[in-house]
Amino acid sequence: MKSTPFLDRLPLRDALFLGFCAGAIIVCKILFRWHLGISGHAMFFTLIGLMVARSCVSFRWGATLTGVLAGLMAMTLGLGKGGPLILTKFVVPALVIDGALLLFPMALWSVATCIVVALLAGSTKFFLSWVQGIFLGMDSTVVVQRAAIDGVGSLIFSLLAALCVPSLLRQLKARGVIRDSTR
Amino acid sequence: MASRNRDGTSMAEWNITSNPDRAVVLKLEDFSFSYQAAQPILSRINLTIRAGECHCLCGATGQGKSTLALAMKGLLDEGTQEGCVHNSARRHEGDLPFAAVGLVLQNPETQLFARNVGAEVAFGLENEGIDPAHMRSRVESALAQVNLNLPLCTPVNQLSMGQKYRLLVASVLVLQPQVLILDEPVAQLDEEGQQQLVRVVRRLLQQGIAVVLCEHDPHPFADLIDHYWTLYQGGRLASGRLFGEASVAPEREEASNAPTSDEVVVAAENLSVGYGEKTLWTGGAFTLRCGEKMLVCGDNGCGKSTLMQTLCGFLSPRHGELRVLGHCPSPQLLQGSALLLMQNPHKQLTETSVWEELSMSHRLAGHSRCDCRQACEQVLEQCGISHLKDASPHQLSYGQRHLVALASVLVARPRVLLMDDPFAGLDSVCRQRVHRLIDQYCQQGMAVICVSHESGDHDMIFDQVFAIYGGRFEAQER
Repeated sequence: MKSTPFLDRLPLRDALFLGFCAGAIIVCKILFRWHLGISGHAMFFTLIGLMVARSCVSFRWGATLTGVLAGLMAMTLGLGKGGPLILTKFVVPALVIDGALLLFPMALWSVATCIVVALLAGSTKFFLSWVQGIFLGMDSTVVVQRAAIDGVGSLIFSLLAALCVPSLLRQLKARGVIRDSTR
Repeated sequence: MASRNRDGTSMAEWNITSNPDRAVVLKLEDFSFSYQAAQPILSRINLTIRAGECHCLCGATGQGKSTLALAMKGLLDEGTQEGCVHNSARRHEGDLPFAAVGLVLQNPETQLFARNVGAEVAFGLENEGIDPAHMRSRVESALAQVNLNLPLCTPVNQLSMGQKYRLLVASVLVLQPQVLILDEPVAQLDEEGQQQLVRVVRRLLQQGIAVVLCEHDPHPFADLIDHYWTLYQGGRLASGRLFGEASVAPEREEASNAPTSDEVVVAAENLSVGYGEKTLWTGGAFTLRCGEKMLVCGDNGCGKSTLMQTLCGFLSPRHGELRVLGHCPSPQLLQGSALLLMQNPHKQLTETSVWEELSMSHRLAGHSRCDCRQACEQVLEQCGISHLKDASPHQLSYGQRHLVALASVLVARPRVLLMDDPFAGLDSVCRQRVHRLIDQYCQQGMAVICVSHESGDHDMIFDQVFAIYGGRFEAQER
């Protein structure tokens, strides 16, 4: 059986939209550089961007591609503290979103299931923070405490993002951005 | 010669002057299209357009005229298509498909994107790689053809809807199309603009350019039209034009049918309006009481929409005194009691379905939630759009969106209703319905101020008629 080439599954319009979402994540990250002292607030914009990107195109790895683009932009602009590892901050939650939508394609259209997907994606912050601490050679107790604080903050902002996404998707569908075939 | 089609529908006379010797520039063969499965918008359309012919597509509001226009321009990329559209019009060797087809959409604001007039018209030339040295003369010539005598640096957002439509016609004409499609040209243009466009169309036809008009009321172009076509429910296209499609003059209501009270709701004395440093007109003096209907007519760009914005409190009067419901107009004070139906309905529709749009309007006006359902159903029925209650208002036709916007302001039951060109994009049946609604709500005490670029038959139903002409606001003889 002949498989469809990768680029044939991603029309130009969808590719541009994914690029727009990646750019929007980075622009929001730059514009809203609040020094609130609250861990994980960037997850709010990241998850909204990734979930909207995946919902508006039929390409099944849309969120991951958006995450890669956003990570590369962040790396190029020198955002955050992770250096090249900042790529993982965008790609890992995106993989969780794509994976969840492979199993439950309509998950982002209901608030309840969207919260579940967002919490799963947001929880990756705990593991990323833990791995980062290990790489830095921090004491294991400190690593776990720091990862827990980051993880809880991330979960709170993921929850807030999940409350916005379904109504945002309904507005986009009403305006014809999301088509039935995409869903 | 009147004829009848297979359904027994009476057809108006149409001139069969198709010349088979002329080159076919556009041909639709068994073309069908649907946005959603099992709901065909266009069904097995067969249409041949030859060079130098003028075709007119008629049909009720929301019947698919604009969709057919998009198909002829090759712009339908969603939905399900069958059959094909052949475009053999080419301006020169290597011309892209459909590049020789020029389309002006019904709502100019969806097609405009440059900041100023010159850039808008020149954009197409830039895409064609025209030498910049030759651009200015071509841009000025195109603007002169549509009588839009404005400096090239004029910001587009300062233009009225009619002026925007003329600008778009110029930006299409500058590319020298072989087929020109105009979607509802009469709806947005004043009488002078229509006559100007008639002259342009006549000249284009003489040059062998084909013209397609999608129009409810094509009477200004009647002498030029070779073929009438009508789109029916289900997307069927038939040759000829229904008599009922022609505009029907509303009957004059007896004065006694419209009870008015002595309470003055809007009063203006020596009013001048404008924006920025510019004064558009002076001398406005009128008094409107509960239950009265007032019409203000004027050409494109004379300041009708500016009057509406001043009445809502979005702009301050330049001079003179203006009172709405006893207050100097301000959006906060007038919220829920004086509502505006905008000229471009797209600007005031925000919800995801027609029903939610009406519910929100009812809620924001402060009415009880208990009677929301009944009020919404009643207004949907009155506006004849009950079948659209679950549809997205953003994906309806221009005329349908106008009706939804009208329903959303009526459901709020304001004391003063301001209507900015409420008849644009509506077929004769819908126009009649809007006339009846205005009358019905005025009998219940609502005061209506309506502005329109066409005085035509509308002044028959209004109690007071004013005109803006030459920068003066003047009462009209009845």
